[in-house]
Amino acid sequence: MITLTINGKVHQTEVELNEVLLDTLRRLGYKSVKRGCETANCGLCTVLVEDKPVLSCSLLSLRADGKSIVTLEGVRDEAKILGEFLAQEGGEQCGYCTPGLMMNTIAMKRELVDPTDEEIAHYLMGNLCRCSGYVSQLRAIRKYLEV
Amino acid sequence: MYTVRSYVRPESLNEAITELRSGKHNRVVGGGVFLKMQHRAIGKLISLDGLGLDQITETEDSVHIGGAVSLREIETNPIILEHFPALSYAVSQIVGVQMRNLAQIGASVFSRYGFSDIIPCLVATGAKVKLAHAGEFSVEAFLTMDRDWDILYEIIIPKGVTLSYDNLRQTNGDFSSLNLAIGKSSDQVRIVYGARPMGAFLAEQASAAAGQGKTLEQVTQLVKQEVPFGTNLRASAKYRRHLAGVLLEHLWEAE
Amino acid sequence: MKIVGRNFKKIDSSAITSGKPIYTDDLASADALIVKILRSPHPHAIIEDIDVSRAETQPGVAIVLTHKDVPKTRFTLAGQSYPEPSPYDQLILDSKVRFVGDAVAIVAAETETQAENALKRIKVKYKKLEPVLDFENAIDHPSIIHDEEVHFNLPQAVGGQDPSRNIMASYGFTFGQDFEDVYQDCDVTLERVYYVQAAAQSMMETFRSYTYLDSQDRLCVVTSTQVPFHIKRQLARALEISPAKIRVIKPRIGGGFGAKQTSETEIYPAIVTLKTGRPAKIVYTRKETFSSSNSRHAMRLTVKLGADNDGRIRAIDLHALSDQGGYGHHGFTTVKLVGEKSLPLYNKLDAAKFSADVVYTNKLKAGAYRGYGATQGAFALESAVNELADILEMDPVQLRLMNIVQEGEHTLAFDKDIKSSKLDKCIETGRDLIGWNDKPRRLELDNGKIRATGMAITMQGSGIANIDNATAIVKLNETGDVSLFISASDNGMGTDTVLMQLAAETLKVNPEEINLIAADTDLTPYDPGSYASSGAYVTGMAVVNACNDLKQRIISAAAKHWKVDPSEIDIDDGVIHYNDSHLDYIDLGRILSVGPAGGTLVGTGSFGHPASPPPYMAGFAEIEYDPETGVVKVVDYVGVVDCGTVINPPLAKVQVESGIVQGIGYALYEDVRYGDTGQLFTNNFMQYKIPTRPDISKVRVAFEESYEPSGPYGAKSIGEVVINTSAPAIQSAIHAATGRYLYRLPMKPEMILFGE
Repeated sequence: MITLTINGKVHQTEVELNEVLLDTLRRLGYKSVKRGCETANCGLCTVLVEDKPVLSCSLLSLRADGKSIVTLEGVRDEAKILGEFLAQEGGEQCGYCTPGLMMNTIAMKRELVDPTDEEIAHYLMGNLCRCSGYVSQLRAIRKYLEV
Repeated sequence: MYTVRSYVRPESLNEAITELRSGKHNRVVGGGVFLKMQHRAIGKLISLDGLGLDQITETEDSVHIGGAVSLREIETNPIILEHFPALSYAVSQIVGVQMRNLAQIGASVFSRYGFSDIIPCLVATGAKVKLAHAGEFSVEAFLTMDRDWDILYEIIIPKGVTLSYDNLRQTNGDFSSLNLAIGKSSDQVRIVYGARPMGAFLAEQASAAAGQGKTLEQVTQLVKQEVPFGTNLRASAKYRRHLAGVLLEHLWEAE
Repeated sequence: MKIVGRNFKKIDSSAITSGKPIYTDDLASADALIVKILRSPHPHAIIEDIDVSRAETQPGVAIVLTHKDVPKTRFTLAGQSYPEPSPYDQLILDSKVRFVGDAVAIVAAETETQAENALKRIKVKYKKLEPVLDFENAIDHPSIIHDEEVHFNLPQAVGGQDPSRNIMASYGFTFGQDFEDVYQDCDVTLERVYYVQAAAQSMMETFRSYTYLDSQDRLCVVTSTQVPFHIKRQLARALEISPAKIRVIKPRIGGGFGAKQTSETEIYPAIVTLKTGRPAKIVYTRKETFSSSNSRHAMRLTVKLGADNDGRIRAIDLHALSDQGGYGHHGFTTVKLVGEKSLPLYNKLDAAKFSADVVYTNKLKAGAYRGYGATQGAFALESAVNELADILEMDPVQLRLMNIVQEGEHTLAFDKDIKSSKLDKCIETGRDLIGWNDKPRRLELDNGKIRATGMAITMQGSGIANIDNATAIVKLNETGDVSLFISASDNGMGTDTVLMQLAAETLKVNPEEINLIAADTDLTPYDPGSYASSGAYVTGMAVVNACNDLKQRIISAAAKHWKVDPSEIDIDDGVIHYNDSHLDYIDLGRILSVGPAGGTLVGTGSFGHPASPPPYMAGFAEIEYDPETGVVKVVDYVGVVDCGTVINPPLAKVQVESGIVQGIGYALYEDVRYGDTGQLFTNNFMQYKIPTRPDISKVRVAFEESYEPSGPYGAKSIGEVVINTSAPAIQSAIHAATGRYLYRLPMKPEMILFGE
């Protein structure tokens, strides 16, 4: 039995020894968290653990015991602002990479001060997207960073 | 994904190494990023999370990096940025920030990946590793020794070495097609190529020649003679041999 | 117009950006059996014996199926209208495997771990056969990949198929005068051979399907697809059940790019659900998506060009040899577009010729990928035209402007009436935006790097002429709002939003008053699906027609209400006027919901067209080349598109940006490598490198809108045309920088540096 604080709510749950946080989160109903690869390349599964963006596909749930986790479902106000900019640009497209991208963008906003386009692209390097070609997302993220 | 029979979270390094060596299918989990891609049947999976190995400290003559320090911490840590900005840069080129927040330097170095960006930097600085069972070794000695069922719990990098690093990748965030780290101290130069695609290789003759003040052309020629390069999906041996000279020139000029 | 041409957010944007559970796997019930597939390690083998006894008895295992347990009717899973031009050459499970990763057995268990555990306990005895791995040596190879009876819907005289020689299709077309006569008569001739790779579509959501039996014991299939209606029909054939017993539902989709125009996964949970009565789901891993689904067709393309010294292109011959892989999905049709979507760009021709051979090999099957042959054709033909310009010492922009097809012309190649084109303007605008005339094609920078430019043009279609036909239904609800029923199968690009705009425009109502019900074979009308650049054009016209039909019914109903002649009634902004009287849709809905004179008003509209109006694009690349490393970085890319009327500017712009960037990946990074024994090495994102964020710099987009008379408010398609120019424009820029022509994709640094 492990204890996870997810979006401020305490969950106690049994997990398999080799279960990763991504699967635990989805099982507990946090379906914004997606899997896009098995090789830690795509960033779709990004969540915040103790405020840091991590790949939930690679973190054993057992090792998240006692930790605080935030998914897109838990950042409604920020998601609304960033989501609106993405939507205005059409940068969300199919939306499958969007939750992971949004979580990492929110983490970036907290961490980087006034980043350049190159710094933004580098911070978000681990968030693949095939629909957008990235440039519309960059336009949206720049607007979000100005808020 | 691997399977696991039991999970242990020791409270001390002693306990951890005892647990690890109690069965040949036991494994330590570092960040878990690469371990996850393996399909092995693990007996005891040992986490080092409770050992306080996630610290970077410094003494007068060296920087000490705990085995559980994340790559992201290495990238952003003020001590590393002050003494080895090139190591911070090398790490920053790896996959993505969410991966680097998980991946740990101890496991990364212990695994001796051919594509490593970190190991060439460590070899170039003359760094040492501390293993819970086998003891303390230089990184280059560690690269060739028998080192199973051990725990790399600390890396010690001597201060006073100026590290430079360069690499070439197919796309950003890919593994290096080739990387190069050069460590310069008052008495020597160490030229180390990695992702050849084989692991880090210290070019001894080239390093010695560079230390003696030989020209770039002479040192490049020695590199091409003594460093073995291979072919994989990322690049051919011929291209890597060519790049070896280009990267060397970049770092030479950057001085 | 108030709504067409205006910015609207995607109708699903708030659900997406708040992380709502709207995709297939999010909707699957927690008790669904997990379906996994045992896959062949051999490229070509007979299954001599298969023993599942140890797998069946493992804990949690519900069922294990082999080729002995599945129906014996061959089918195709290429999502195409009936009768499909793809051969019926596959079974759910076959006693023969035809590529590494081909399906051998199906396991369903309570958990993923249990299913994987069972897979390991299936014993298979293979008789290995000599594989056909080199597509240039596939024809008349001693190994025959499909030696069984294969049914082709296309007559042999049309498709030229001969599976006994590993030929899946072979055919050709000639136009105008005798090709050889003209070619020999040209001042300048050129013959070049190009190779393009089997690129992976790489949508972020892998293939997945979820099946269950509903309250009437019908098979319900919730699936990540571009082609729900084709799946319904094809599943019925594959499973040997009545289509009346099948319902296919498309939820939100995490990208497709053509990959999901083939029904990769539906058959597996479907047969499990039919046999066990239990809900079941399959979610492909990324590795399965790379190595067991479908890719772009790799091809060898041979171009012959003949021109006069003054630059008139008189003769084009294009031959494509297409690597189909193990099964014939989309083989005949993809290769046709190599010629049909490239040759008609040039229309001062005296002779044109196109021919193709499509061959079976023991590799991953090819399928649909954005551009669908046009991409391959564009790389070959545009690269050759750029090389011709160099030989003639002409500006490639001028050469294009001299030779391109103009609005109002009939094309010699493939006999097309071009009713709308601003291709000339696209070229001129792109030329000005990139600064083509203001700087040299090659400029050496102070840091030793070289800036260079290149360009290319392209066309695509809008729907499939004489085949596609979509229907839309629109209903005025008793509450005055409108329900629009369509099946265009939006897989992320915003088709649903564009269709909602077209409905709102036609009905003159606020878009917020329209509810969109999409892509459910029980509820929504037939539509072939989301492919062939058909959404905005084909389904779009069906929506316009349906809304006009509803409008007439509204006018009639209002006329009846006021007891006046319909001609005296106007509709404006959702209000129905007769002299000083007026009714809004809410009033009318209420009136029609009560009493003997009432009844719901429903409009229907369909659209199919004898032509497929081409959208056009001009692409201009500026690269920075590092002569030390051979690395090319695209520092600026200008894409100017004629998609007719732009219905939704931001969504259209993202289509262009996205296509350019996928094209950059295809041009420079996305290498496909096989091992000697037919295993795909590039089977994950660690080895198959799609562009990442820092790889992409400036991408600029402009539109030159023509007016397509057959399209909705003048619109044509945009989804596919945008991927085609990147590779040839970059190839030309690399030549400008290095003096080297590259004839093979991707153009990797060492190939550029060493000349291969």
